[in-house]
Amino acid sequence: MLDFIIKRLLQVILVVFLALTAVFFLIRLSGDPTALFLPPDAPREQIEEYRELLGFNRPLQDQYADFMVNAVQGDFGESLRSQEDALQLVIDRLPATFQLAIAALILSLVIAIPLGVLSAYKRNSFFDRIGVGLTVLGQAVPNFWLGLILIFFFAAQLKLLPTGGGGTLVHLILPTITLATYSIARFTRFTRSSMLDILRKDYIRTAKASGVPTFPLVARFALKNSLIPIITLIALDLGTLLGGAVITEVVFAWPGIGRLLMQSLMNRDFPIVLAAVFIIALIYAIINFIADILYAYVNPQIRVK
Amino acid sequence: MSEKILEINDLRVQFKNGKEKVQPIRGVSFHINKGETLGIVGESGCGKSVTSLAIMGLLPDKTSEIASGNILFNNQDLSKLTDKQFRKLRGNDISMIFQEPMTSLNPVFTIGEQLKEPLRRHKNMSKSQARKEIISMLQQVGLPRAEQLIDEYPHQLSGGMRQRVMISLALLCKPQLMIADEPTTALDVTIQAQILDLLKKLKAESDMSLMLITHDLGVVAEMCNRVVVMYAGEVVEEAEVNDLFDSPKHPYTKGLMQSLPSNNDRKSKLFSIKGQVPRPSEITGGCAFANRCPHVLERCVKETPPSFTHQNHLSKCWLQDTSYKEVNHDETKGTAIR
Repeated sequence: MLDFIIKRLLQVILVVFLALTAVFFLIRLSGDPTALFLPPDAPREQIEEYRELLGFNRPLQDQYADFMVNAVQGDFGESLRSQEDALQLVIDRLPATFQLAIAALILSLVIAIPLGVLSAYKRNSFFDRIGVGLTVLGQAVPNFWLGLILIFFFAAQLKLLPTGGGGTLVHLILPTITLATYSIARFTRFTRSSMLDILRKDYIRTAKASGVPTFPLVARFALKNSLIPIITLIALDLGTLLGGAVITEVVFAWPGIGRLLMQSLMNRDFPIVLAAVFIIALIYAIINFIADILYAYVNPQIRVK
Repeated sequence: MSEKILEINDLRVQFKNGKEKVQPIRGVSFHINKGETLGIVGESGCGKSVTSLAIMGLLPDKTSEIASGNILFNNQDLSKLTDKQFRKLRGNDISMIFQEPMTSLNPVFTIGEQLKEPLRRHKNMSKSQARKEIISMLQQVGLPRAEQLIDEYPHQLSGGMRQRVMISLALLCKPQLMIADEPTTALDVTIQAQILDLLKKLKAESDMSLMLITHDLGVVAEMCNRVVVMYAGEVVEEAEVNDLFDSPKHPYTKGLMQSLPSNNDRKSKLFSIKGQVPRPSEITGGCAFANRCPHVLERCVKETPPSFTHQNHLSKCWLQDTSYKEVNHDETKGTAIR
């Protein structure tokens, strides 16, 4: 078990390192940050002075080496704009992002798993067909569009909910629905197909032959088996929800990491971008690591001795 | 005559696939007496398993139905039971062992969690009572260290051990009838012998009836009191076991017996029945075996043979017509009419 954990931890480090490296070089393609900080008609000497100050005039490999050496020590530098510690700025945004991601995940699981199970149990029925149709729709609808439509109806027209911002539970409703739609559709389809597969298994027939009624047969004996592949999916989705809720956060002005990342990219505030990428990659890798452990819990066949 | 525990009369099962309808079971009749072992033999696809699933009420409900006939268990017609009524019988009065021990146990639940189901459902036992009962049953089927085994998962057991677990699952509620659908087919030979011995022993200890489905005539000779031979969804011959082996009446049964390898002449080629089993859709009229029968008569192609019975030896073949008078199958009510 210890071997397994060490191996996975090394993988986590590698993933984070590679993500940071890729992003470090890629964001530099977006242009020089100094251009945004100084007026367009700033004299050449002033620009050079500024580049000198921030270190952007040094060779790229030196900048990269410096960044990595500092990053390993947890220092991602200061925000180019506010001169605050970049990592701290990102960490301050974490709770809001977590709140939204967890709410979306819970909402999607609560809806998707019963729906998927029911759909599989009543396969090819009217209910199943409608369900499958809706899940395709749910996966096809783009986040930003759904978000805007929800704002239009519930905030602008009906004036029931705020258009954006954070802080209260009321603010959470629309972004959660927007963010959860895709996951609901994905989980439902996956639960359905996984369940269909399991319901055909010999051991379900065995349980039926020993007199187990339909409800426990499906909800206990079949569901636990079909949850095994779903756990991986949940882990992948939670990673995406935590790190990649960028669009939803921007649409609803939700004060999370996604919005901060977007703003920093616009401002070419490289230290914040890199700190945010660091946190997102770390969360993603850790969640997958947890999923592996959970896996072993549900599936005794791969439990490590 | 001993009491009948199960009686099947002119059973027809129909499978639907879109608009296509297929009858894998066409007018099957037989019975099982209390305490006896009835063997059902026949090649793959002849309807042995479908018959047993029909008795258990485990036919897929959307694609299949019992088109006609009835299944009487202690004079109660099983084909008319509701789901709920059936559930009270399954695993309680009738239980079943399946062919595939490797896939018939749920991989994510311990042996104990799976075995306690029938006890909790049918006998309302408390957890600790059920546990005691399960451990003693596991010991009875010859499993070592039952106390640990009850908390282990199926993948930790070998095929033979799993089949023993399946048998103990079937026996827990002391059923009146146990159906064993090729219980040894998936196991290797030494384990096969052990499982058969176990079934024999358990059988001797109770007055349970056993319906043993197999395609192994050796198993039949070893285990059964009476034998039903099935071919293409029909019962073609039924007799007491010694009677059947001494004087098989139906050409199909004779063919089956000739196909058995003998120990003496190793070099000769094994006998096989020529031709293929007709698909259900190809059987239109006449005897289902006519296209493969070495003794085929003109009559066989045109007319479906009824069941001829002589001294409790039933055979569905026109060859029996000259020497024996045609009577209804004397132990079941209806003749297999087609």
